Amino acid sequence: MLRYAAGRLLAALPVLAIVSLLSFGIVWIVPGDVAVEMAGPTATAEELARLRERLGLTRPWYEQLAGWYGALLRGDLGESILLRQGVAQAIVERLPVTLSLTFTALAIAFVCGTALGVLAAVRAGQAADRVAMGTALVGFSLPDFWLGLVFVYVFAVLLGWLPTGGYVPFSQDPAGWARSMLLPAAALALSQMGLFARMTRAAMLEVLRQDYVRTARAKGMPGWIVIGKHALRNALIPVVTVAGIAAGVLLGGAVVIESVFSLPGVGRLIVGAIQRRDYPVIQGGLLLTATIFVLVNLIVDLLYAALDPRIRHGRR
Amino acid sequence: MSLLSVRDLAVSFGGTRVLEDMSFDIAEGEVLGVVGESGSGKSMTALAIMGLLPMGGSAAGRIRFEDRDLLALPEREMQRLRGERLAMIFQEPMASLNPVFTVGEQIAEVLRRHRGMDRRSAHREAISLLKLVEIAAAERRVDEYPHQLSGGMRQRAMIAIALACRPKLLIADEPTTALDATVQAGILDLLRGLRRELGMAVLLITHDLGVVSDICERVVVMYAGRVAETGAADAIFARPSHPYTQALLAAIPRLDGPIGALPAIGGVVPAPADFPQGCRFAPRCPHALPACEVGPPALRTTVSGTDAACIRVQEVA
Repeated sequence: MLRYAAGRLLAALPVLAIVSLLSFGIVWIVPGDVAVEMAGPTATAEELARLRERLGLTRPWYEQLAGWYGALLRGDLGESILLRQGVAQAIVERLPVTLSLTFTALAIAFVCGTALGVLAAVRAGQAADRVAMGTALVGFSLPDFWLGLVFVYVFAVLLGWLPTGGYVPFSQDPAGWARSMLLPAAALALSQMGLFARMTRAAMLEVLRQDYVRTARAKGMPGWIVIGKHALRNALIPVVTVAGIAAGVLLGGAVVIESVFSLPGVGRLIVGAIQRRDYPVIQGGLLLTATIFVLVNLIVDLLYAALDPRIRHGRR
Repeated sequence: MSLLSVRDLAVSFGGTRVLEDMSFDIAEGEVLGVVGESGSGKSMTALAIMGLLPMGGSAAGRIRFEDRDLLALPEREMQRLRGERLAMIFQEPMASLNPVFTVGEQIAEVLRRHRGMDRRSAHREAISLLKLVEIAAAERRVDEYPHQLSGGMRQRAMIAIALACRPKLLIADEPTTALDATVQAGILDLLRGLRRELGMAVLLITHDLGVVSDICERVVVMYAGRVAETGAADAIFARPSHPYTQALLAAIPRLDGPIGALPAIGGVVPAPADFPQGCRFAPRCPHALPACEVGPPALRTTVSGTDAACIRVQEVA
C-alpha cells in the first residue's frame, strides 16, 4: 500500500511541473504585448515601461523562468496588479469558500447519486427505477446557474428559509456556514448527482449478477447487508473513479455558482482577473486549480486502492 | 424420518418449466448425488432448496427440511436457515468469494450473523475452520484476499464458510468442475472426511459419474428437467436400467474396456421450451416406441431395485 501511494505521488509530480510551466507560459502565449493588454489603450509609454519592469518582462526568458520557479518554491505567486495584494494571499483568503462549495457539492452529489443508483439497480425495471433515473436525467440536463437562480427565488425569496447569498466562515458559525452553502452546493451538485446515479446503477447491476452476491445470500445475510456491503463495496470502485472527474467539473462550475450566490471565492477572483487582464492572478489561479485537480485524483487513486485489495497488491 | 424431503418440485421461469416432478429424500448424514448434463435442472433443484432461484424463477411443490416447509417459509426465516442449518458451495470458487474482503472476514461474517460471535472470537474460529479444511498456514491465509489463493484453496475457503455453523445439509453444486484433476481429488477427499467427521448430509450435484461412484450412497439421474432414474449408487452403476443412464455409463472410458471411440449419445438435450410431450429422452433413445411419445413415463421399480422413468424398463434393463 505504501509503495503504491508513493508511486502515485511520484506520478503526480511531472503533471504539476507541466502545469507550472504552462502557468508561466501564459504571458508568452497571449497574442500581442502583455503590458499593453494590461495597461489598456490609454497608457503612456512611460507607464508601459514601468509595467514591463514590474512584470520582469525586460529580462531574458530563462531568467524569468528561473525567477518564476524560485518564487514558486518560496510560495510567492507575484503581485496582483489591480488588487494591490500578493496573489498567494488573495487566493488563500478566497480558497475556503471555493473548497467548501466544491466539496459540499461533491458530497451531496456522491451520497444522493449513489443512493439513487443503488435504489434503481435493486428495483431495476420497476417504478422506483424509472423515478430514480428520471430524477437523474432531469438533474443531469438542467444547467447549474439556472438551478441556482430558481433555488434562490424559491427557497430564499419566496420561502425565506435560506439566505440568498453570501458566505459565513465555518470557524465563525458552523450552522450559518451550512445555511450559506446548502443552496449553492445543491445547485452545483445536481448534474453530477445524475452522473453518479447512472454510474452506480450500471455498476450495481453488473455486481448483483456476480456469484459472490449469491454466496452472501447463501450465507444467510439479510438483504440490506448483501446490497449495502457485499455488492456496493464492489460497485463503488468504478464510481470513485468518476468522483475524481466530477470534482474537476464541480470546481469549474463553482466559478459560475459563486457569481450567482455572490460568494467571495477563487472562481470570481479568476473571472475578474481574466476580464481585467491581471496576469499574475490568472497564472496563480491556473496553477491552483490544476494542483487541486491533481490532488483530488491522487486521493481517488488512494481510495481506489483502499476499496480494491487487488490494486493494493499490484495485480489486475 | 428423512432430513430433506422434496416432493413434486417444479421450477418455472415465466411460462417455461425447466424442472418438474422432482422428488427425492436425503436421510441424516447421507450423501445423495444428482447427476445430469447442463440444463437438466440439477442446479435449479439446489437453488430452489436454498430459496435462491435467479430473478423471475418460481418453485412449486413441497420441500420439507427438518420440520419446515421451505417453499412456504418467509424470507426472514429462510435467512436464519441459510448458512446455519443449510449451506451451499458453488462451482466457481474464484467468482464465489467476494474479491474485496479477506477470507477470514468472509468466514467470520457467518459466525457473527448466526452465532452472535464477537469479531475476535469469530476470527479465531475462522482460523480453526481453515485448519479443518486443511489449508496450510491458516494463521496467515485468514488475512489474505481471494486473489492471493489458488483455485483449490479458494474452494476450501468456500467449504470453510459453508461449514462454519456445522450445517445439517451441505449442497455442493459441481464443487470440483472448475478445478484441476489432482485438486479435485483433494477436495472430494476433504468433503468425504468432513461429512463423516461432522455427520452432515450432502447433496452433491455433478455431471461427473466418477465423482458420484466415489462418494455417493444414492443417486438421482436427471434428464431435461425430469428424473430419469434414481436408486442406490451400487445398483445404478452395476446395472443401469434407464436407457439414458445406460448411455451415460457407456460413455465413460474404462481401463479394461475395448480400445477405440467411446459410444456417444446422438443428438442434444432439448431446450426447456422444446421439451417433448412424452418421454423427453425418446428422440435420442434407441429403444423408443410410438407409445413413448404419449406422455411423461412414471417411475417404475426395476429388477436392480432402482426406479426408472421408462415404459420399456423391463425389456431394456
